[in-house]
Amino acid sequence: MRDYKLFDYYQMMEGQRMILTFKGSMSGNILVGMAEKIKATLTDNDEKQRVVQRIFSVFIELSQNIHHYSAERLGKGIIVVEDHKDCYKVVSGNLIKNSEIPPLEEKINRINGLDRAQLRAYYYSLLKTPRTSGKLGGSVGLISIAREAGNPIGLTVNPMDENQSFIEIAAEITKEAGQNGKSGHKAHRQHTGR
Amino acid sequence: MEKVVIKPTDNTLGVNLNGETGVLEMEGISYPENASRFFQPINRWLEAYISEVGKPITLNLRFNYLNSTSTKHILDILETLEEFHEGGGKVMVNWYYESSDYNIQEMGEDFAEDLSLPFELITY
Repeated sequence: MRDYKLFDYYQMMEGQRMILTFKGSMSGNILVGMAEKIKATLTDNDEKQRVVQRIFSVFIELSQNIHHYSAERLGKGIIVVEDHKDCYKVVSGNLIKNSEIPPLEEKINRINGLDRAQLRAYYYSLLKTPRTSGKLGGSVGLISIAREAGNPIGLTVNPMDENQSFIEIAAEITKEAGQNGKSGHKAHRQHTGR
Repeated sequence: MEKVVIKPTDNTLGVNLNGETGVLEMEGISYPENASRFFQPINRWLEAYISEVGKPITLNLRFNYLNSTSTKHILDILETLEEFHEGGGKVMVNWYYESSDYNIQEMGEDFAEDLSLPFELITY
């Protein structure tokens, strides 16, 4: 029995300026389709190539990050892209085991405390560390998100029961002023990490 | 040595490894679901080439996007070449980037700085 109105969801999404949403298990093909769609839509809207590239990258890393943490079936979660006046927001959500929350908080706090140069150094130090468990543990993905977004990563934990919680990871990509189109001049690089 | 030719897809690289000429090429976009599975045959081929053939290697890289996991795999390949170079092997890495693509340019500059092997940055 359906006891909700899809229209309510639609209006809420419109009101929150969501331009793309997905809930479910994200496969490689779905990710490709959505990532390409974002690129095409924003390019059609005359968004700067540099900003489009950042959103594309953050969207991919956040989507693949769900794989690392989802307590449900691999890759099951929700991802949203919002188009605000001064920025884009990409937010992912998924269930996570409560035991994994403190290390995740620690990682994100550490990343948010670093400036651009420090993020670069941290990124390469982790890339160069030989993999012990065959997994990078999600850290490089999060650093990559912070470097691309140029703003601190947001983490919201919604406790559900003694075993699991629903986490939201949010990245904000600031819109750049000035001419649209293929600019990408070095002076436009404005992420300082904070 | 057998050639390795992999056609590019929307989220995996085009690859061409030629054991006769020693020219290895990789290009395109990379964010596969399972990066280890994609890069494993490339690493195996490279290790076999170095130990069995050991002739000069030219690596031509022309990327448009690498996710973090793929970046790790590319760095692994470059580190294998660095080792080969330090052991007396001849290596040349050509890193091509689109003139407006600062991400790939920056990544190339970072790699060039971190690695001790002949590394050319070429814009197109």
